Amino acid sequence: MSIILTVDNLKLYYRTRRGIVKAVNNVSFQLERSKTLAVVGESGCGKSSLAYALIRILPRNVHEYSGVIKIDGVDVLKLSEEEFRKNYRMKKISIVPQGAMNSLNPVLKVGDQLAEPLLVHLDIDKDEALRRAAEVLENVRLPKALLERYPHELSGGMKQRVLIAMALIMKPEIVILDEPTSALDIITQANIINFLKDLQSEYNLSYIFITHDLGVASELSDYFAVMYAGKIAEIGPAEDVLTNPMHPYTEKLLKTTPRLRSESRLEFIPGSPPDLIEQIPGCSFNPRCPYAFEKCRTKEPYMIRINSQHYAACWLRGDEK
Amino acid sequence: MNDNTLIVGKDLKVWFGIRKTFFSKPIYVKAIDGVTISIRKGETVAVVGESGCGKTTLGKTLLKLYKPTSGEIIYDGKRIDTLEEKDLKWYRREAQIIYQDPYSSLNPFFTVERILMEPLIINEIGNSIQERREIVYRALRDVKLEPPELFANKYPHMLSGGQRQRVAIARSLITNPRFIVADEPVSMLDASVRVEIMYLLKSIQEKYGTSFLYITHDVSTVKYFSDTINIMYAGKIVESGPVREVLSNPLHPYTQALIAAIPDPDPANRKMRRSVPSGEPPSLINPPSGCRFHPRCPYFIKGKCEVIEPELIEKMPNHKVACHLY
Repeated sequence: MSIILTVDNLKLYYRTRRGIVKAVNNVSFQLERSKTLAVVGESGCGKSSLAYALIRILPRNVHEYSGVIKIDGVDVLKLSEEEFRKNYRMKKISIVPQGAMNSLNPVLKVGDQLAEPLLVHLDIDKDEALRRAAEVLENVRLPKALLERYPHELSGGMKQRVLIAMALIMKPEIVILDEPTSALDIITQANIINFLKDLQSEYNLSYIFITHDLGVASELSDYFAVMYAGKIAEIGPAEDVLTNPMHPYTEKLLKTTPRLRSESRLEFIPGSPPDLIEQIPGCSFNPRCPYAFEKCRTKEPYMIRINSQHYAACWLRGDEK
Repeated sequence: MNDNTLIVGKDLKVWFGIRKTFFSKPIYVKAIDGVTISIRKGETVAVVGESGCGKTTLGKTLLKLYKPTSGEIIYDGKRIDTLEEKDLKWYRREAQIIYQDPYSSLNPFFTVERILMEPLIINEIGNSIQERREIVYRALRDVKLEPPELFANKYPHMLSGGQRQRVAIARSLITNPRFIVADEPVSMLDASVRVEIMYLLKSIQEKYGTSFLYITHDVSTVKYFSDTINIMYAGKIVESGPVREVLSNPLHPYTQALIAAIPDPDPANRKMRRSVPSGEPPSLINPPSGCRFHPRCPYFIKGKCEVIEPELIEKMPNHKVACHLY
């Protein structure tokens, strides 16, 4: 087992007029090479912020950005922006952004957009860059002719493939997939997922798969991290988290998911997730948790070990201390 | 058809003409091309399909927001497709719509009370402000926005996505409609809120006996909020029947693909591939000849599927399919 990415106590806070938004609040996890970690949770839980913290694409109003992000043993958070841009972003870690429909520049040809990172990073001329762009298009099963097309001439599935091609063009090892299929039709989504599986085994990619859809997450993911209010509530192997959830939030979230192949009564979680400004004393899920007891309202739970790979931040799993 | 039927669309066609230049001959986008659908009182009928299959056009046509190119719409025994807008005011009260996006379907400059009061004023329901306010509060209670006095004075931006969608539902309920088109009412919402809203729509249906046309792209939610399902592809219904029957025994290859494409959360999924056809739905300007699914169909029969258009036939009681395999 080789670890490609280690994240330790990662924090990303934003400054707003209403106060400090703790979007990513002490997040720690590890990613194994050629494996997929799903990061799931409701909107506003901080999962997209986590993605952008990892690849260091940050807005201006950052209040705090700290912790450890080790890629192949190097703590990239210590690097300057210039070093990170030159040697890591796109080259080691890249991202397929959310919203296939509007992530491409509408006034540039697909080829020019694909070739841009090559021209920036490598000392090659435009013809060579376009030749490599054509290669990458082939890798994502798209015709070379697309180089000469504009984004509006492509269908949703094709645009998504172009975005994947873009993320792959510098041959990164880690690819962050931020809701890569949520704007797509269902059959197109299934095709893209099949395709992401093929790519992973072909190029030994490690994925961080950000999604709100537990079903789609289970398609790719070896490990699951469930986020709630900027923190990881539970993390572990897919088998454990999906079939034997240890955090009440995971348990409830699974019961909100419609299932096509089995009879289950859908439940909802009363209340709504907290906004990330106000700090809830104790466990941030306690106001919505059916099992909450006194300790949950006063003391914040730490990650409690269920087994060597499965952890949950819930006092129900810990001894009374 | 029986006495219990509330609304029927018969052989509906909705073609939109577009011109490349002002003088050129129009070409037609055949958004709906021969669809028959009927909804009983107190029933939810689902229309499922991918984007661009014509499902929203169908909903809007039944509401007479589009005029059908041909075909009939019969509501409660009356033909309404031939009526002019000025003779449809009663129908605007009877039939309502809930839109997909609660972030853009509510006027940001209006308070919730004003949003809900508007249909009352237009339809001249209630005689005084007090009476109308009572109706507004009742609708807010119906959608569980309580206490209503508190929510009535809020603006949409002060509400969460789920609360906004509740306001949109309250607005659709306020004229006491018997028929509501719910166009992807939950697809923008988080999983938990989605379930809440589906239960809310169900409870409203039980309380008022409302009929719903539930338009969605997501087959997995249909089971929880529908009695009958229609699968649409490229402007046509390719399969219809009772929800459980169709989902457990899908006949049309397209229905089978739609179902196969949806993963339930299961760690075993990552060890397999989904068997779905490649490609995307065709353009509605020049749809494929014969069966419109034939270029993507794994069971394509040469000489038949691309030549003859299959009819919708009743293969099993109430379960219809349009496919040459049957």
